[in-house]
Amino acid sequence: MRAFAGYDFATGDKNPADGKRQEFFNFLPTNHPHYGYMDYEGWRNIRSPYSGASLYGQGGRRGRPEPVRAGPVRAADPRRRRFPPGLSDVNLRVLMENRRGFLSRLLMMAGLGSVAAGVSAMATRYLYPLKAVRLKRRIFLAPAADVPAGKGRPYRLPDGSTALVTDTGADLVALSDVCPHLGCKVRYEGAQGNFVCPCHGGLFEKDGTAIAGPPADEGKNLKRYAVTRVGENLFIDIEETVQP
Amino acid sequence: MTTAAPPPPDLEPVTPHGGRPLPPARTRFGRWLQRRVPVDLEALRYYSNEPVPNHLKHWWWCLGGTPAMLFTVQAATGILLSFYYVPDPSQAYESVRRVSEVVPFGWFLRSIHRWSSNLMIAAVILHMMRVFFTGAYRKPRELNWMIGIGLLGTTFFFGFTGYSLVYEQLSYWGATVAGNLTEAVPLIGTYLARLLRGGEMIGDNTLTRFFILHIGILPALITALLAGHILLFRLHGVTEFEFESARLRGPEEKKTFPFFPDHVMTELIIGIGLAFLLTCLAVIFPAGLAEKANPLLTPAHIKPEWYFFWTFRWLKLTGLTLAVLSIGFFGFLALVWPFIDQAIRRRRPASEISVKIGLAAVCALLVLTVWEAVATH
Amino acid sequence: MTLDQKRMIVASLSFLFLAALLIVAWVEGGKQRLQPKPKPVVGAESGKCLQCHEQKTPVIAEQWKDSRHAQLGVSCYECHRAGEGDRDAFLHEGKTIATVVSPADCGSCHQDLAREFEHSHHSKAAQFIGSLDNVLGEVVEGPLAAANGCWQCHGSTLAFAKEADGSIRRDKTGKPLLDPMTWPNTGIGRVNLDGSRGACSACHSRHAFKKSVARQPEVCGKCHMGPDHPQIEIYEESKHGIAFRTRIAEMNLDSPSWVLGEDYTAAPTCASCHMSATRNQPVTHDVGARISWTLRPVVSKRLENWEKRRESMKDVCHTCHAPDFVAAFYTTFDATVDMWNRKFALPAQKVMDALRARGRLTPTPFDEELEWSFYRLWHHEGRRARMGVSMQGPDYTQWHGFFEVAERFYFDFIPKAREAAHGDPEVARVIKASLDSPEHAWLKGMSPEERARIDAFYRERYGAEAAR
Ligand code: FES
Repeated sequence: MRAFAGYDFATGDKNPADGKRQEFFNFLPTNHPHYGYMDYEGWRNIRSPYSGASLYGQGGRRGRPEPVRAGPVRAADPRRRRFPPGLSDVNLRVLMENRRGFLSRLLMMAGLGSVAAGVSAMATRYLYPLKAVRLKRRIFLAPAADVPAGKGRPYRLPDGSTALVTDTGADLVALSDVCPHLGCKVRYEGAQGNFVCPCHGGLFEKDGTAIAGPPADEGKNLKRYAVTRVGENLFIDIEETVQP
Repeated sequence: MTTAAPPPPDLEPVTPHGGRPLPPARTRFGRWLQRRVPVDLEALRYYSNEPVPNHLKHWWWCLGGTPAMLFTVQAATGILLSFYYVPDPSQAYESVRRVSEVVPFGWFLRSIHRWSSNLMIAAVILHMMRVFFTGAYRKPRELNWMIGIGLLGTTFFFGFTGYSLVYEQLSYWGATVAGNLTEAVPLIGTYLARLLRGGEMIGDNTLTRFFILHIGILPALITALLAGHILLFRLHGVTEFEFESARLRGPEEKKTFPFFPDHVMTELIIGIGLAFLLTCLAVIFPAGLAEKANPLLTPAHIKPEWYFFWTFRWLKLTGLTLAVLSIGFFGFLALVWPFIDQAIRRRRPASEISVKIGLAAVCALLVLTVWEAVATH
Repeated sequence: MTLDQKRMIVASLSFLFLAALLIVAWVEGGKQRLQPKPKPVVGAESGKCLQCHEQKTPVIAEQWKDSRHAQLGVSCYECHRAGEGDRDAFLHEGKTIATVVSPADCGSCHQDLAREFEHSHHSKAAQFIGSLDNVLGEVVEGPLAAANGCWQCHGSTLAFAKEADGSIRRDKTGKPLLDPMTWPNTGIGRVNLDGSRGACSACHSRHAFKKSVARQPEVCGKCHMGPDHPQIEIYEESKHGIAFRTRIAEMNLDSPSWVLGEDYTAAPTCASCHMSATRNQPVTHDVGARISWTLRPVVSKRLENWEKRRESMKDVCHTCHAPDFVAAFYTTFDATVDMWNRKFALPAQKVMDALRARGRLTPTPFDEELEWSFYRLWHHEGRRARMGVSMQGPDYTQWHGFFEVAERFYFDFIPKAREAAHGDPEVARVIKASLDSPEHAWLKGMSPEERARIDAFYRERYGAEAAR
């Protein structure tokens, strides 16, 4: 496997008629003598970028490497004419023209390709949703007097969930009514003074600690909201997800 | 990599249903594909590669392709915009604002969509003028001219429904004026207006109707018309037209050049150039957002988009019914113009009257447009 | 054009296009994206209120949605709820509510502010009811002048509209109706039906309750203006007011925290000096807490605890001014107030007292021209002069102030007092003594040297012509 790229440059004569030879002169055009005419004509007056790759594999006959395909040599030479090593500028003139075609095609493809890539990147960015924003805020819950001591009371929060607020005497506890086991809604049982999940019999203390059933086995308590008292009123801290 | 090549799967020529056998493709995959999609590539190449007359090397001969390209831009950006647009009077404006101010690159897409619509209308008009003044609508291309008039109307309707969707002041009051204009059409006006608005006045149904028109019905219509337009144009070929310069060059020079790749490349240049132009316009003059539609307050200075200026001025000059009737009449004249032209030329073969009439019409429209543009009310 | 050239054009155009796209990306990168605003939280009890009131009073609903309250879930019912036993409570669509929200209601959350306000001079603004001014408004001018004038700033005493039999008038839903003479009213000292005093909405306009509104000088200027206490005009004339008007965009008026020297430095407003936080003291709703003189009465007095009050005001001054600067200002300010007291207030007061004592004036206020003259002297012109100097408004100190004071005193008040004395020797003695101090000596004529000096000045400044 071989990849190559290069740029050949040989100066030319500014004015061929003035008798001065100004071009680059390749004294010995090939490293092998006696190839014929090409021995007399060296590289001059050219600009020639080239690149390519060739791959050598096991040929039909064992042990003798043989070029199988030279990829972009074809690209460099759209007419698929292989040039012998050691190029004379007679052939080069043909090659140069084709290389120019190759160059313009390459540039055009590169340009169109990058434009397409840019446009698709923009479209993707446009369609892909922006990151959701989490907004934490403290909102009004209720006047403190509205939460009777010792009894739980449900309050609907703006995101649709419910907070069960209990004045335990020592503390104000606001709990999410979503059971941490599989998401059923727990209920406050006044007689027992605790929360019961009707689905699999999860049982929680007034402060949300799981005491029986699957939630207790998994050690998952009810989610607690922070409640703050401001003056005569209660405020609760909630977190919302907002999709911009 | 290949050792001994296995015998090709089957080299039996593929015969499309009811056609002639196709020459086998060269590669294995080619043959595989050929069996599944039996297309006669030669024929395809023949039809798609018709030689193009030399005069298409003139840039302004490419104006027909321009609206088509801009339509593609409109379709692409329009589909993207509809991802966020909400066709509901209470949310439409907000959703447009969201696209412009929140969604990444939304402002860009919206600006491109708006600029492209403007350019499209301009290109359609220029293309039409070119066809008219070179007489390209004449026999046997009369039908294609008529389809073209249909395309022009559809494009205007596109523009109108498009800016109604934004639901800014111009949208609302533009729709109001248009509805009342429609009502002025004798006999069917009232019914037509109700059909358009989805009620006796602008209401919740109106925006939905405009939306469906803009993203469903009109695109389907314009695609069908465009297909017919291009089909007829391919079948007839480009109008032969000889330029002075070409005649001077002598007969030995080729009169045509290949459609592919030469002409396609020209169109590609125009396409990319347009994309560049649109991008620059979008960046320098991004589509803004005026005040939200307020059904209680008509703004002091309200003007439609520039391409409706002439109707607006005409309306002010002539009064409602006359304006509607005369616009309808002129539209009809434009539609059947090829036949009128034919009748004239049958009587007076050397007459240049069509060019003069065309010039007069262009001047009239131009005067009305400029008048409206500079007038303050 | 050859195919090759066309390809090159396509290539270069696409790179140009690519560059344009990069600019688009750059513009996009620099775009300020609207941050999602938390939606208003409608309290559980208020959903139904809003349904109706969004239709019936859309502006109230919109203003509320724009408020900080809306973000906190403090919605209709939370403020308008009333206890069953409240005097102004009524049943409205199944809820017991009251129309007027009092500082007691606001104070259920904003306790500290309510407490500060309760101690302030503001909360007692309606207590002018027994004062001379009230006689003037309610009696001399007429009750409607008081209701639509005086009380709109000072505050009314809310009362129910009464039926002929003395019972409270109610509408068909049973809502008690308020006496139109007393309500609508957002006077700062309003006496509410629950006994609380004040109206928070006097400055915190409902229902958006924007802090920026309360921080603007205009909000104070609703009342602190006009011939008798032109604070807003003085402020506008002062360097402070000029700076504010010019640099209002830099005032950060909407900022939650508004500490002078931290959140804004462009200019002070009324609130900045009298109420708002500095780096050393918190905001206070006791609006007179930093005032050391009372410039209201005939004779200005230093307030109780005036040193402490002065220190807290100086602390505000020191945020922007050097101590020497502040000290020098206070020196002349105090001296000017003293001058007013000594030269005009005390003598005039003494003359009035003597006239009264000698029975040369009736006990009824405002029934004699001299009383009006005296009133104008201290209540209008004298205050203008004192307030002008207190807030650095030079024109209000002098032309609208002491100039008019002098004219009133020498050529209106004193002549009228002499007239009213009807030759009473006791009164004549008091008048003479009043004018005996060196400050009034000029009345007896200027000395020749003094006249020569003025002559020389005019000659130099305006030329020989003008000297005559
Ligand atoms: S969901 Fe509650 S215990 Fe299972």
